[in-house]
Amino acid sequence: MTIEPLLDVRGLVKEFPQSGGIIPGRLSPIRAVSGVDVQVLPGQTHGLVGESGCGKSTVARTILQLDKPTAGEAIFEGRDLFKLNKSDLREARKDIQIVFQDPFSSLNPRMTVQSIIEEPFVIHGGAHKSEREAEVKRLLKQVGLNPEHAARYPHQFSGGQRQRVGIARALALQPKLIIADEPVSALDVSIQAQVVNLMRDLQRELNVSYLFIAHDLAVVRHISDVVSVMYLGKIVETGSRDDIYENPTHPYTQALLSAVPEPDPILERMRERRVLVGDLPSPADPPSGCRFRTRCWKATELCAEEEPALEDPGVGHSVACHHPEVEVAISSR
Amino acid sequence: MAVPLLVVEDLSVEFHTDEGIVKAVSNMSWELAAGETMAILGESGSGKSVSVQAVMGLLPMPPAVIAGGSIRYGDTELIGSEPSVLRNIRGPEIAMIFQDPLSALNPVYRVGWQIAEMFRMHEGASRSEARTRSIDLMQRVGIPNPEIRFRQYPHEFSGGMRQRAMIAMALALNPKVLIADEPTTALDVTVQAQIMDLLGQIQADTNMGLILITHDLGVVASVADRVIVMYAGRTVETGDAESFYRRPAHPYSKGLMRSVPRITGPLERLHSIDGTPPSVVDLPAGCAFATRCPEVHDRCTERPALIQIGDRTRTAACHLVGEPVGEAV
Amino acid sequence: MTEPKTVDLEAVAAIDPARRTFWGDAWRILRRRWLFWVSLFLIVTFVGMAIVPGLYVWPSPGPDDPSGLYCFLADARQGPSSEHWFGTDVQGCDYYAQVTYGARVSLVVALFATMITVVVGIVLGSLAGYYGGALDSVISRTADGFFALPYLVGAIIVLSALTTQEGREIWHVTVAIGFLGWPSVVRLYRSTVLQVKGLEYVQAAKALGAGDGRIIFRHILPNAIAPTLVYSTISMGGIISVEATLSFLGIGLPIDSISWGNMISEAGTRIQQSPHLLFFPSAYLIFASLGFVLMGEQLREAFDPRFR
Repeated sequence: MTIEPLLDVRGLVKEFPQSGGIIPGRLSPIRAVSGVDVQVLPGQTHGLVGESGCGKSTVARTILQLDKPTAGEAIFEGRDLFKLNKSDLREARKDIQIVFQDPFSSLNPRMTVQSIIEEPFVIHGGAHKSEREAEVKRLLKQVGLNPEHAARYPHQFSGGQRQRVGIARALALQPKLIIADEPVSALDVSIQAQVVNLMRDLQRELNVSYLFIAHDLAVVRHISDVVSVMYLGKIVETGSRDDIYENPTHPYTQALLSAVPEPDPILERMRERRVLVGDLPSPADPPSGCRFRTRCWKATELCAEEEPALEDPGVGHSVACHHPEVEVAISSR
Repeated sequence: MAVPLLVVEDLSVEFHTDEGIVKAVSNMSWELAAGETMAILGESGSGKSVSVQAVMGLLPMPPAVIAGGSIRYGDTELIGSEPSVLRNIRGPEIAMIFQDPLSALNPVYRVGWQIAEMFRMHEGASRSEARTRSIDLMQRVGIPNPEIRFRQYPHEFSGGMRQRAMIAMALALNPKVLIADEPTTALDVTVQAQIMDLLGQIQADTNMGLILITHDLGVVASVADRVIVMYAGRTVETGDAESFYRRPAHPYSKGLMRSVPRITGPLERLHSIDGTPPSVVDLPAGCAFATRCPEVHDRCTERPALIQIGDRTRTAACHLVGEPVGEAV
Repeated sequence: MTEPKTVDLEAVAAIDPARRTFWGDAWRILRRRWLFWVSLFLIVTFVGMAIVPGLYVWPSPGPDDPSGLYCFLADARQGPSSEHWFGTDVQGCDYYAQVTYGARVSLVVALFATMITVVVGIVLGSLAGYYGGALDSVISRTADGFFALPYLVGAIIVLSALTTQEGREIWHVTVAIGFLGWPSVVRLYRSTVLQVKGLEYVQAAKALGAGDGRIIFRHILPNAIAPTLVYSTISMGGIISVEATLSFLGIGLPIDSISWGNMISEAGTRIQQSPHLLFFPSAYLIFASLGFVLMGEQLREAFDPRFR
């Protein structure tokens, strides 16, 4: 790729100490994220999908250093975010913003929408009160809210409207990157579509990049240029949107896609479901070798012994599997 | 259609709150026959759960008030019946499972014990008999190693396994009707598929009536026989699933169907329904969807009744469906 | 379909979301409860008594009454009468005036002791809850140590450490009570901080680059203060009794200060002959204390959405 990535995360590891046990520190830490590489190109969206507990949200939180990373680097515009001192990090945070999942807990209930959206300006100084007010009005309009409602409190808005307020706050400092952690999964379907469309429009307008984290493969398909699939702290497959949805190669990706229900009874009955057996293993004690092998229908002894590398098996994108299904696509197509 | 097991007729449920009267369900009617799967679809606040909570007697009263209508199981009217009568119906005859199995299971008791309790309490089974039957049941709902799982606590179960345990408890007394309120919403997509398959298979085995309540149009598409779509406490469309999914009639159903993101098909801009649902405290006198409807017209200030469309299996509450209008894009 | 019979204007205002705030909601709940009004009445009465006792006692002290407290030795230890509603004490002072003037010291001690506990509790609770780690361990274990200490023993130790040769002063008692009271507030406030800290709006502020001070005061404090407010209102009532207990035991306020505790303490020795000396200050003490405790309970229910 010739374009320089805006954000280049390499070898990201995040361990959480396990509490409990009689002697502190005796239990080995839980590796929530275990060596993840993610690149976000300018003006593009990288979708990070996986089921709960796969570590996708931890990736977001560590990049923003809401949690301290254990190892790895995150190069943003040539500088490693993990090595910045406090004041440089504060500066860098102007360029990287976050939108959270829960539109109810992500806005301070005791603050008006005006003070929520202008907070970034207050924190980073500059702009007089009147300028800030004008700016908040402009931002509200930009995210499709009535600028007259700036004096209202968050609980006076619906879920979708609050998520727009959250987006307006994230846009305030004109960031280059927005990390969106499950931004639509708490919303109703008809509202979800509004927010996804808004995010796409804003991207086109402002050339902002997104790291879009979600469990819903269908939503990710509608907004992402590049998609990575995570399982138990690792990326198992990564490629362009078409690679992932038209030519899924990792068994886990295939299973995920085949499990997504479609609102069409006839199509559903024709589809051959690949229903995974069992549950996600505990991240405290991941399986040896390939982490997916305990639920994989293709697992062999090799999978238990050796961890597959994330590389291209000749399909044009990277897959971490010893037995990639190179030519088979899911049967509904 | 066979003789219905459960009949809800003209049911209205209100919540009397400080903020005013919330009309959670207005004049809802449906029937469920044995062996039938009915899906009640709607977004949050549509009242989709309230009607079945009324069936199960789970509404907190006050603030909830059943403002009218009837709920009949066989020959028994459930509204206003003696608690002793209801106890023999709710649970043994009509069982229910919930969205969040963690809060529905008691954290301080072993899962197996909670299932066994159903046999001991309702059928007076002996300890060992209850244990054997519980283990059989756990096996039947696909809980691996049931002997070991029997002795574990809810927190030692994963989300999917907990939902299976809940299903086992609900099935313990061989109910004739099972109500599942968002049974897969809290679960991961791969586990979702497992649970839906399980429910479908159990229903085929037992010929019970199954009611699925969900906001997810996709999840129930493969299992539902019939569909009811709710909006702002009102039924806006009913019909057999196949023809509903092929051609939704009400503008709300159409919009909803088109706003579902897909993993296949053309990658166009997502369709969205503008605006937000009306406050249920202050419902408009006419059609509740009028403020967001792309096909709104003069008559929408009158509240539309459910009108039969096409073959007799389908109805929609829209002034437009009765008239020969071209298919809106 | 049933319509509400009359249009309650307030209910209409409540429906309009533009007018709803956290405090507004609490107020709407409170004002419908008679216990709130009872407790408010009690608090206003006693606080008024503490600020301007002259409003409650008339006529004002005359020139032949140098103490300013209606004392005439000849009338000592009389029971209640139309002239002296609460009777007189051993000095012949009008007991109604005495008990009324006693409100000030009792409430001042309670107020300042509560302020000490709340300020110390919130500062330490914020530090422990927000920063965690070693700081949290030190603060929390110290608080645990205080809990292990029996209250009266603690009070005796602190008061004897503070007392100088000139004797005890009011602020000694205030500080002693405050000093022993902060650990409960720390525990309470710390746990609320821990809850609020994890919420996404706090994370969002962090991601915006907000400093610790801003997060602690702008985002956490307003959302975590309610339980502490409730607790301290209730504890105001408790502290009024604690002060009385200490005074009763003779380790409280200086003997010459007019407080309910001292009055009760003194009356205890004459309970057979003059029960009214015990009855009236005790009754005032109980009602003042009750006022704050009831108010605290009402606030708790108004703030806690589970009661709504």
